[in-house]
Amino acid sequence: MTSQVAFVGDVHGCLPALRGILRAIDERDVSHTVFLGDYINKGSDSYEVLAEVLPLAASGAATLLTGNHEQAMVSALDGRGLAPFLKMGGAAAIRSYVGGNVGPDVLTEFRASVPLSHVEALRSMPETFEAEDVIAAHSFGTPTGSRYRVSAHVDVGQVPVISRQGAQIDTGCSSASGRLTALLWPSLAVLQVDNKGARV
Amino acid sequence: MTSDDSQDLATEALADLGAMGVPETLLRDVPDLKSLEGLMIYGSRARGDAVDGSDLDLLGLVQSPRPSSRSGDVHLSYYTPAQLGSGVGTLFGAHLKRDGRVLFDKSGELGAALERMGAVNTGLVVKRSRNMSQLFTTPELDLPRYLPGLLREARYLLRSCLYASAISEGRPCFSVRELALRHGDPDLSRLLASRYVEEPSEQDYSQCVSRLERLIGPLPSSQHGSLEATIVNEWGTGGDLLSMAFMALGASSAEFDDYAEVEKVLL
Repeated sequence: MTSQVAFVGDVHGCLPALRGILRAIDERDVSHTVFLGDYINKGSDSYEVLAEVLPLAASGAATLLTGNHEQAMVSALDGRGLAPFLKMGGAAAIRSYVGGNVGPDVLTEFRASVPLSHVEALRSMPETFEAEDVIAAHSFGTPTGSRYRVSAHVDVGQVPVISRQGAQIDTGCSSASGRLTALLWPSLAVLQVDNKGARV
Repeated sequence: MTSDDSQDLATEALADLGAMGVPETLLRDVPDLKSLEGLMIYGSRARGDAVDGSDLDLLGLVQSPRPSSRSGDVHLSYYTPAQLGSGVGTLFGAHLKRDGRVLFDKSGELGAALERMGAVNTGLVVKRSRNMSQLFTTPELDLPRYLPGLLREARYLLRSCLYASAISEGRPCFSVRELALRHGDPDLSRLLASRYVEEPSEQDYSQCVSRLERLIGPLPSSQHGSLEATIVNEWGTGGDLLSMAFMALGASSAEFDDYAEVEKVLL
């Protein structure tokens, strides 16, 4: 069997699940892994999750797409207001980077605690991954083209939604009873772990 | 219960609202009611003292939390049995029990929740308000960014504490105009009008906060030093202070209670 591409859904700050899914992918013949964004918030490990996936991207083994949570974090760091980021649960990522409680000037402290390498990586994350017969993004606007479309962003429950046109693979990682899903292409095989990283 | 039965209950509820004098123009904006376990009307339209332009306030009982909806002047808030349970002893709970009218109640849970509301624990209302009012003690950092939200909350806490103090004096009163007369403070009517349409001003904010302070004593200092720090440091605790700080970020109620991790504040 030829090697496959693995697409991974929203991780949302859950390091045990990330490590579990990476172990599961390692056991398969996967040549490249594409993460569909939303690495941060909800769970307590935003910093650790990004610290784990950034080297994979640097080595060429993985592509890290951007999600709406990363875009809001960049916008907050750029001084375009902390409120939109806080409203989507950005407190979780801020706590993770700062390492606990913050003082009154949250933005200054947050900026000082995000490593430059993380800021640069967050800024340069592409929105889509495209191959000959498959295209992936955190979310799609209007469907176009005939390629197989893989997306995340919308929590579809514990089981990914897989149809002939595309797949939705955000299975609520970090939420109660959520899972982290990897979809292998082109076989459409599904690998899943729970929030503790155990295979399900 | 079949979907036909649910449709019948929804249709009957709309007919009942019409019979209570709710105008057709408002009824057209009522969202789909079929998925609700129970439905009640409260506020001025339930009491019968609505005027032209009054909102229609509805409460829907649901099994899992969902954001409230606003369509025109129709406001439908969704509550789970557990969320309604947190209204026991609150002004909101007492208000629902006193003025509200159940339109349908498939399992009987809505009526049972209203029965449990009981008397207002005025001491607790004031204690909780004092705790939340620490958000008003770091204005130099917060007012430039969050004046609209903080003013809305200062008005809410002041109104709640005025109601609680009227109850504890043995003279319950839920009319802002009447309270303004009792306190010899005509400005209260304007500051606390349910339809406060003025551009948020620091002056009105200060007026509300100083009245609140006169009513409940000196406000406790902020534990975290700013509104934003309160949200970050209280994240995950699920208390009143977090909810209040989070809601002060602004935006519509639909947007903030979309965040299920942050509970409603019922005083």
